[in-house]
Amino acid sequence: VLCTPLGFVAIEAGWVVTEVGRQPWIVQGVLYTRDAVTPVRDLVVPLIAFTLLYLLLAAVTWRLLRKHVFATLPAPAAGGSDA
Amino acid sequence: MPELAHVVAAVVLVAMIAYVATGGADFGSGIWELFARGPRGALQVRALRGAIAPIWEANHVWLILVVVLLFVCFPTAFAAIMVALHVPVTILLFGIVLRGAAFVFQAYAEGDHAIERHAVRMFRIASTITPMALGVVAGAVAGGYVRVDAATGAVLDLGAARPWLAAFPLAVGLLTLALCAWLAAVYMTLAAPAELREDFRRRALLVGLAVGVIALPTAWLARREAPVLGEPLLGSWWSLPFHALTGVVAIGALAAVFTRRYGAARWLAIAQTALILGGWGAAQFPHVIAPDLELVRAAAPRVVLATTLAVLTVGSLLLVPAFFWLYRVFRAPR
Repeated sequence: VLCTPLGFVAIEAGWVVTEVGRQPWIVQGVLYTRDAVTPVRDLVVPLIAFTLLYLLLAAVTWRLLRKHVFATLPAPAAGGSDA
Repeated sequence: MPELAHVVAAVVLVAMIAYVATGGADFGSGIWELFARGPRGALQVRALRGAIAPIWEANHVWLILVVVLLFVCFPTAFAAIMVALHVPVTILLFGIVLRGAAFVFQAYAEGDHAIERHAVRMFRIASTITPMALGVVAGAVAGGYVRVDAATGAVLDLGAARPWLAAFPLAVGLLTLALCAWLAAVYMTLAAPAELREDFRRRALLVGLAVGVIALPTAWLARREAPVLGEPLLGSWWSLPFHALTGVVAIGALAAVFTRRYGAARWLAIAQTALILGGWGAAQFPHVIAPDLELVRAAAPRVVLATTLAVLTVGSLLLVPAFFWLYRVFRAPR
């Protein structure tokens, strides 16, 4: 059970490598990232807003998932290691 | 042979009509949950949720189609709209995400009342704000509030608020909200169980009148504040017959609700939606962003347009029958 997240960690790690490895290009050999960035100012505002949004969604999902997992656990006889 | 760019633009317009007629009504159902009161309030909420639960995710396909077509086929215009209107577009995105998440959260709350209560409130608020934001974006683009450099196609920096925080875009936001509520109420006269029909009939009549009441000053505002749209919308050779037709269809839809001919009312309300959006499209043609950017000039290279149209044709062979059966299965009038 504890190993479940490892697959996701591997996917994310691979993604980070491709994104970082391609810099300074955003489209390899065609377009620099600095030329592709939006002219919109104060980008820190949407960055914080979207981070908070996804933290909220993650927290609620976590809480509901726990409820569903507990609801479907076999009777306490299973005992042992739950999360 | 028509310009490929114009063909793609026509597809975008049809997809927008489909989105308002289907997804717009989903927003409307969330709005009606806000007003679900009285002895049959809980029943109304259950009927509203039951009506949208099987279809609301599928309905967003139309918005995705609009966004992707703009992005692929009119990249200059897409960039200009997203940059100039990033505030209402972000609100729109937040609304869509929160609304979908909240709907799923309340459905799977499993007796977690705190989550359920918050999710339901979030769903209703997001259902109201999202169509407003959608209308504001549409009004800003239609009314010529997004300006681009006519030579390079680069968007002009007018600040974060000026391209949309004005009377006309906000009026279009309000009109969109009323239109969504109207469509939802009309559909519910068919989808709701018999004992709730009269409730939704009364609401449909009220908000149907509101659509007309909001549309008139919005048209006046278009002429005064947004002549780029107002002049062609109200001053073309087709204006008078077109708006007369829209008015007749709108009154016909209201009359059909009044006389309890709900099946006809649904089709008339859809036709009314198509005419309102079609009028916008006709007034804006041949521009993608009036008055600076024409469809042909903003379009991607011909090979991209041709490929996209070919893919669309093949894709719609799958999509259209799938949608037909989806609505057929879940919306069969009883």
